[in-house]
Amino acid sequence: MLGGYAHRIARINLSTGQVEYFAPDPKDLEMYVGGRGLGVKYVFENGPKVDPLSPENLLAIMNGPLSGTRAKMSGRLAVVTKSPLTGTVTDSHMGGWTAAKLKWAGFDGLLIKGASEKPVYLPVKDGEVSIHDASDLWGKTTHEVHRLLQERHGKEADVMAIGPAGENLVRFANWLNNDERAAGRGGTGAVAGSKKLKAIVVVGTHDKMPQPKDPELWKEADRLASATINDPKNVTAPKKGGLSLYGTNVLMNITNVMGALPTYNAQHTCIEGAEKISGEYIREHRLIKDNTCHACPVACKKMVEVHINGKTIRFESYEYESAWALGAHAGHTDTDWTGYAIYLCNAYGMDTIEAGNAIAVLMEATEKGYYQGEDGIRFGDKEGEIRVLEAIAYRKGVGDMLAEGPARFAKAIGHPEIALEVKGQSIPAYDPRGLKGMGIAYATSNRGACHLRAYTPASEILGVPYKTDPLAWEGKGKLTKLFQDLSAFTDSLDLCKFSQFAEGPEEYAKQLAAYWGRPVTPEEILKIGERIYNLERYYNNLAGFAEGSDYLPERFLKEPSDCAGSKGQRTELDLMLEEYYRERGWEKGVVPPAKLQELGILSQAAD
Amino acid sequence: MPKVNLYATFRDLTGTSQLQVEGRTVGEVLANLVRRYPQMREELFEGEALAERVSVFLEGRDVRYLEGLSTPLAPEATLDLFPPRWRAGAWKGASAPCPPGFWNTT
Repeated sequence: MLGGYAHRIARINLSTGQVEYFAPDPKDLEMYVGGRGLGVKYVFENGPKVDPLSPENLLAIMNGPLSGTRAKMSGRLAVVTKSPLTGTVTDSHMGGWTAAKLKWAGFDGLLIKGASEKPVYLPVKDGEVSIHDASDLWGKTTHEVHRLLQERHGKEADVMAIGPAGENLVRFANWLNNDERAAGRGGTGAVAGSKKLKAIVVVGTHDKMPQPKDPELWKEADRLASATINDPKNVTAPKKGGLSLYGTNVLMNITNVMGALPTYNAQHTCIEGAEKISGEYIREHRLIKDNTCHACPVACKKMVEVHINGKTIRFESYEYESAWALGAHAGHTDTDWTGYAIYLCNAYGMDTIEAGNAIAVLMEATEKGYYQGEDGIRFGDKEGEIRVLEAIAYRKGVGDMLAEGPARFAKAIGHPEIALEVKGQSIPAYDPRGLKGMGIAYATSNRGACHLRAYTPASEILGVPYKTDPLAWEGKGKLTKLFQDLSAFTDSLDLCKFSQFAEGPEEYAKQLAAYWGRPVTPEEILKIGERIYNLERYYNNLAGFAEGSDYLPERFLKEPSDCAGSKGQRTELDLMLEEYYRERGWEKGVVPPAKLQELGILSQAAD
Repeated sequence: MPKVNLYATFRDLTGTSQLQVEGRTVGEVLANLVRRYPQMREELFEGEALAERVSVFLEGRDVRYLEGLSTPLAPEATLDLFPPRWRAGAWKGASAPCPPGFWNTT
C-alpha cells in the first residue's frame, strides 16, 4: 500500500443526504497521485458534458500524499470541478492548514454531488462526514462564517466557506478559509452555491500525521529540500529572500519596470506610482505581521492594515495579483483603496483577479461609451470600484451582468474585444507583450488564462531553471510544456507553486519516494504531470474545446506595448503555438488517440 | 548623472531607494556604487563579471540583452537594480530526463 494517504475518500450526495466511503484505487494513485491529478480523474469520470451549476456537477475537495506531512510547503488544498466561468475542467488551490487537517481528519478527499434544498455545511472529523443545517449562515460573509463555525466547533477547527457571491452564483465566486487563503479561480464557490453548500469544517490534529514509508530516504529528501529552500541566496530563504520578506508583491516594481504590467485594462503596460502598491511599500508602511501555511518556513503571507474613511481594516493578504487587479488594472495605485477592495473580495468570496478584470472592463466600456448605464465607472474611480464590487456580489444593476464574468459582459454589450480572456477566464498580472512566455502559457492553459499552469516568469524574470529573454518567443513553447507538466505534478502532491523557485524534479521525486515507499524518478514525475495535463485537455476537447480554443485577446497581438522595457512589442502567438503543439504531440490543440494511449489514459478510460 | 533605483533587499543594504551615481557605462556606475556601498559587491559581481543572479535594467531592458557592463549610459539614464532571486543550481537534478543541452536553451 502506498504511503502518505489516508486511503479514504467520502462521496457525499447533497440531494439524498447519503454519505459513502471508499478507498481510492491504487492504480489511480500511481497514475494521478492525488490533489489536482486525482481530482481531475474523478471529474473526468463524472463526464465532460455536465452543466457546471447543475446538481450533476462534481465538486472534488482533494489533498495529496504530502499534505499534512512534514514536507516543506505542503499546505495546499485542491478544489477541482467543471468551471461555471469557462466550461473547462478547473482546479484551484488554497493554502493554510485545511489540506493538512483534512488528512489528519482521515481523508484524501471529499467528492460532492447533488444539491441540497436547504443551505448546509459539512463537519469532517475522525473519518466521518456529516451534513448540518446552515440556514443561519446563508447570506453571511466568509469572515462571519469562519467566526461562527469556529465558535461552534472550536478554535482548532478549520473552516472553508463561500460568501454571498457564491450563494448568488457569481461565476467567479471562490472559497476562502479562516486563514484568508483562497481557492480563487474558476468559480468553484459558485458550484458550491449551486449545491447550497455554505462551508466545510475540518477537525483534525497533527498526531494523525502520516509517516514516511522509508524514514531513511525521508531524512535525505527533507535535507535536500530544506537546504535549497533555506539557501540565503534564494528568493524563498526565510527572512532573507524576496518572497519571504515582501510576499508575492515583490514582483510589482519589477514587472512595472519591464513594461510587463497590464494597466488600464492592458491599454498600457506600466503605471506611474506602482511603488505605492508594491511589496516594498507595503512592508514599510502597512505590514502587521508575516503569516505562513502548514510546514512552510517561507511565510510569504502578509497581514496588513489599511485605513479607509477613518476606519482601520486588517486583512490578509496584499498579494501581487490582487494589488494589480484591483489597483493598477483599474487605473490607480492607491494603497488603502486597493487594500480595501481586496478585503471586500475576500469577504464576499470572489476571485480578486476576475473581479479586477470585471472592474477594468466596465471602466473601459464606460470611457469608450460602450456601456452607458448610470452605474458605469471610469479608470481611477476608487469609490465607484467599491460600489461595483458589492453590486457584483449581490447581482445588482451592472453587477448582475458582470457577475456572469467579464467575457460574457463584454460580449453582451457588443465589444468582446475589450475582455482580456482565454476560454472565458481573464488574464492575471503579466502582460504577454513584455513576457512572451506568458502569452503561450495563457493561451494553452487548460483552465483559461492563468499564470500558475506554467509560471514562465520564473525563467524570464527569476532565471529558474535557466534564464530566458522575456522578449524572445523562441523556446517558450518548450518551456511552457515543461512548467505545465511539473506544476500538474506538484499540484497533485499538493505542494506550493513557490517551491519551484527552489526545488526541482529530483527534490520532488525523492520526497514522494520516501512517502510512497517505492522508487520514484524525475522522469516518472514529469510523465505523471504530462498525463494529468493531457487528461485535462482531453476532457476539454470532449466538452467542446476544439481547434482554435487556444487564443489570446487581440489587444496583445495587434496593439503594441507603450512602456519602456517592451515598447513596440506584440505577442507572437502563432509561432509559439506551433512550437508548443509540436512539443506536446497535439493536433492543433486536440489530443490525438496515440498520445492518450502512450500516457495510459485511453486504455484506462475504456476500462 | 545617471539615476539608480534600488528595490527589495538592496534598500536594506544601502538604506536608500534612489541615488545618483557617476559613470558612462553600466559597469562604471555599478563600480562607483560599490565604492559607496562595499556590501553591494557580493550582490552585484562575481569576480569582475555581473553576477548571474542580479537584474540590472536600463529603460526596462535587462542589460544582459544589451551590452552588459559595457552598455553606454546617457547622463539622464536610469538604472533599476533588483536583488538576487534564485539559487544557482536550482533544479539541478532536473537535467536527467531532458535532452542534452536542454537547460541551456534560450
